[in-house]
Amino acid sequence: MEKLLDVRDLRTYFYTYRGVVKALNGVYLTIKDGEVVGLVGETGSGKSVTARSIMRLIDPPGRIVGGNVFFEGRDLLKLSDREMTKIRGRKISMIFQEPIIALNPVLTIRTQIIETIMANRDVSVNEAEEIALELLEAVGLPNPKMIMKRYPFELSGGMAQRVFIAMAISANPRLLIADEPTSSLDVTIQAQILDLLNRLMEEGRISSMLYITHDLGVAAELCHRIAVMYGGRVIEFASTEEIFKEPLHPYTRSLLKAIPRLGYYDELYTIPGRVPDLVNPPSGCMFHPRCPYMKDVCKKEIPEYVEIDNSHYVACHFAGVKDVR
Amino acid sequence: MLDEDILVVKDLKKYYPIRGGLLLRIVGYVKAVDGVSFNVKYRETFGIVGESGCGKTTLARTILRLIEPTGGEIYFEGENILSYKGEKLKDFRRKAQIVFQNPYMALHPRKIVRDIVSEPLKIHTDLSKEDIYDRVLEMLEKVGLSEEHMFRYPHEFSGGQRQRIVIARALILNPKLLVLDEPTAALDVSVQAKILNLLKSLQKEFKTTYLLISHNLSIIDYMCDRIAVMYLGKFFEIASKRDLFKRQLHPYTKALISAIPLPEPDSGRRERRIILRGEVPSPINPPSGCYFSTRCPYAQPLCREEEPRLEEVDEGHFVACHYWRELEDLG
Repeated sequence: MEKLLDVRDLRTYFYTYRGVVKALNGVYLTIKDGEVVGLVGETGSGKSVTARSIMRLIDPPGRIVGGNVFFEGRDLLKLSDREMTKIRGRKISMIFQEPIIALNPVLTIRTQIIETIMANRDVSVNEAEEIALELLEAVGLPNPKMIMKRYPFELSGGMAQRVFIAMAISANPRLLIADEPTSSLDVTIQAQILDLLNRLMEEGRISSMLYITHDLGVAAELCHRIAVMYGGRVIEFASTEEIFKEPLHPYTRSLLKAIPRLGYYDELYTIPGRVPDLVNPPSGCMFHPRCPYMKDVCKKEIPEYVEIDNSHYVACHFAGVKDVR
Repeated sequence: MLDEDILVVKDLKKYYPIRGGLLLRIVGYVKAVDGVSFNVKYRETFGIVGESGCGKTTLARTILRLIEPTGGEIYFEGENILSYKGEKLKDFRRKAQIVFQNPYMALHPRKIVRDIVSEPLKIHTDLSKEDIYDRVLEMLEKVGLSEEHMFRYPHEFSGGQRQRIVIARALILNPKLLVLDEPTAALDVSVQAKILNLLKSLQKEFKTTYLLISHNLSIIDYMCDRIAVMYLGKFFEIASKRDLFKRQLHPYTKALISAIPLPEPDSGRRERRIILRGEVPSPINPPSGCYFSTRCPYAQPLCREEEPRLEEVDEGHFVACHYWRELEDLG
């Protein structure tokens, strides 16, 4: 499989009154054609900033200050604004956490979906309308003609997310970036949306996906590979199987032990301390103040992001050392 | 009514009127809580699980009389609290406290932590300033904060620390019943683990009874002894935790449990998952018969005509479904 997306050493900073918030400190991430990659991490770890940086949707005071985002071999960060506009929506599209907020409240679904289709494909209004009806049907909405006449506030969260997914896949993009699309939905509706995304993958309507979530359960179900973020870096990246069965980074292991699981009633594992302050980050490895295996070198040197086993990447000084595990 | 029950709720109802038309007459009701009965034993954790809009928060607030019910009875330690007024009601407030979901909104932004946590003591006791200070400090230490935190404002704290402050305020009067309304929904996984551990150890220390409201079944499973499943203002199933996870009798409970994504790849759950059709119907215009009949994969004509009653089918295991026996045989 070819690399569709290859993010290298991506750095995005926010210049605030408090100081420079180093939101991304050298993110590495790859997505192959036909693959679903999960991006997991806690609040403030940089998941959404990574997605927005790939789309070049960082507004001041934020700025992408370094790195590369290779997509189909071209560096998106080097494109002109006009060229980038042609990538957004057509080649890479995005769905969001709050679909009702992400839709325009004063326009009908019909206006919004037809506008999206016509912006990205060379079709007439009538053709766009037909495509829209077909797409709304494909995302499992009963009675697409009725839905077209509605305003966003008249839809439930689950329905609005289906509409948004229909718009996002309308131009057959190569990559769909999903930023916590089920986090605001109920668990039975979440199950419906995950089922829909799986079906759209099988039908070939979605080819590759970057799926951002804080829910490790969702990531386990949906993704081929998972990247774990901490303090603005991907600190571990491996197949879903390996992330859950043989995690190498101490943070990944701690996180997995902290989730309540059905049938487990002992005290939950907790990670001491707090997430790093990205204005004054800790020296060396960002995780060192909280790490149970911390050694001197961890305070001094930033661990490199390296391939340990076949396609298992980790940023930890001791990831390859068996007895520290 | 047994002595072992701290709380007994009978046929509790909370209807909100909908007004419409020129004269703003009542044109209908939202039945947020619609005939709920259950009991909570001393020192147990009773969980209520359900999706958004099922009425679980309204139920919790009605039990504390933060909202006045439309009908039904609530007995706390054997007394009907709905007749309470004045001093009696104030005394009840001392014994029953609540922790809200959003710790960012539950704390007064312009008060320092000492004043926030000491307020219940000022209202309900006549302790001296020094004693109040000592009690506040002691309580803050129990929830993992220290003296230096007493003079700070809520905005200086993280979400997890704020929830600790809310818990300290709720427990400082040593209440017998603590209602926890989605106590970790606004928090990250690693912070959530700390708060859940804290709540468990405080329960042991203070011998408090918990009523925990959550949409997250993993948390309900981790924390609770008995669980009620709520849908559109009604209880569909009540059982001990062990029974509920081993032997779900209501099809909604089955679907709910099967819908949890587990952090275990290749668990095969995706294939076995029960995906419900459609969405929760509007509580303004609920379906006839069983409220679940519009989404139930096994619905029969009877389900649309007659509402099933919540009945005890095994010791301590209640279910409201016409066909639970047949469904159990199906497996």
